[in-house]
Amino acid sequence: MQNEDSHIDDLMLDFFSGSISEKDRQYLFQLLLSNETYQSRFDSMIKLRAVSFIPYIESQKQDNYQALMRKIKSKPNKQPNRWLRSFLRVAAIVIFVISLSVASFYVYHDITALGNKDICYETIVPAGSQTKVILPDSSVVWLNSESTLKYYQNFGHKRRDVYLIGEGYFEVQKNMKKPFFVHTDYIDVKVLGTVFNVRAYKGDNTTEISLIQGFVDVLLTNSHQSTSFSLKVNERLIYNKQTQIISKYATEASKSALWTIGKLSFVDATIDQIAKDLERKFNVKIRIDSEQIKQEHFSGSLNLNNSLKEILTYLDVDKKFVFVQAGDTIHIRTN
Amino acid sequence: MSIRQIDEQVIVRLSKGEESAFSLLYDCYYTYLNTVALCYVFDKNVANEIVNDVFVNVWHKRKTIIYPIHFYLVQSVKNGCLNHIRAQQSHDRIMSEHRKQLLEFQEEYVLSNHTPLEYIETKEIEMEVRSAVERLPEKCRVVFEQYFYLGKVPEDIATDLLISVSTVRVHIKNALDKLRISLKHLIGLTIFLIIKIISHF
Repeated sequence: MQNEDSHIDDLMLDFFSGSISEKDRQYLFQLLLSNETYQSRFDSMIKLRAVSFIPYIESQKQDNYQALMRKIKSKPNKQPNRWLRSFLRVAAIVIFVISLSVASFYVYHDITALGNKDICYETIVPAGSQTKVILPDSSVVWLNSESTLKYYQNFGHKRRDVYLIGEGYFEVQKNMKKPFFVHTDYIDVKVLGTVFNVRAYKGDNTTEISLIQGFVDVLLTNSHQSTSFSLKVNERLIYNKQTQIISKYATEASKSALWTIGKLSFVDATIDQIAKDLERKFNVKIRIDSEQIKQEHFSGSLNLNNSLKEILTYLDVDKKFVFVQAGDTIHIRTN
Repeated sequence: MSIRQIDEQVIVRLSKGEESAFSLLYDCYYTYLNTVALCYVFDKNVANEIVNDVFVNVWHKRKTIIYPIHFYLVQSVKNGCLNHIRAQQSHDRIMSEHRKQLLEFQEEYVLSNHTPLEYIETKEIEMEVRSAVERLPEKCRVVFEQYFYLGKVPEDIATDLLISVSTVRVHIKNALDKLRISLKHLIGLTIFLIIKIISHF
């Protein structure tokens, strides 16, 4: 037993000095767990050892105090330094995040600005045909013949802008946050989500907007004063390019969109207006040689799937027209 | 030098930034805190570092420190020791199971042993221990001092003193046995933790 105790003391001393072997460490640990008396021996050894160090610790006391004070005295410099360093670190992160977001803001806007200039989607409909365009926001535009619809890559970013020459029938998807603008030469139409028809042919004397559903704002772009008009369902706004007069009429607006299903509808239209539609649809030129006919007004609808000849015959209710074809020009006279 | 000298007035003066108060606190506590730390980390240099950190901290936090400070100091040292033990645990990634358990055992020892050494008159104790060491037989004392205070390994001591390693070991143990008897009242044989720890494994 005496021998064993002595061996355990050896193990403990080696353990304290850190020179214990793995095997002995394991053995010591198992002893400590197995028996309370070993534990109390371990405990008292620890304390005895610690107390035995007192003279040594005392001998170091004064030198250590000098070292300690040097450490403390140098710390006031280090302390704010450390504060400063961590402050700078935080500041660096904050600046980095801010500059990153600013940079990405500009990069993003540069890209959209570039898109504004460079990347443009354009649909051109030749005379005699029609096309249906589905916009990125899934709004639908029917384009009548000889029409052009253009929009840029930033479409739908903050607002939805399209540029129209000719005639278009719009079914705009509702999005209160991103207003939809139809820009024409003289008139802009601002909508949130409606169905309407815009007719803005370059060759026409007038630009017309007919509202089929919902609500639109019409903005005059060509006038010096910026005037805007609200349009209600079944109202038609006509802007006369020559006189710059704007007039609003009650109309059966859905008729203005009949062309999308191959029909043409007229309400009190002159033969000139009808002729222009027919010219576009059939890609011909129509000349009205009779002043008398020019004074007449027509109402009704035409089925554009019929031949031009059938349509013209249909228009000639009183059977007084004479049609003369010369090349691709058709002359209408009275007999 | 007595821990009793540290009264409320000293702490008030310390909180005002009086260096003399800090110096007095150091004189009264340095040795005591070192022995406390030595009970947990065993390496005298590590123990001293932990104690120095506590003092540096006390100085920097002097404005917020209030009386009594005794348990704050002891707890700070213990925390320093725990940090050291835990750092060892995480430092040696690949560690044998029993090594890990031994460190856990040490950790448990720190946590459970709330008053490691109960003495307050550091100067008196120092005299007592010093005289106890000086009473050791000459050879025994030299070996003891070289082994403990200078941190020499028994093999080196044996070479220096031209004696065998086993003789060195015998001297060390004899010295400890004699000191154990003469310093018995300081160590206060407390049976510690035992059941609590065993239930852990």
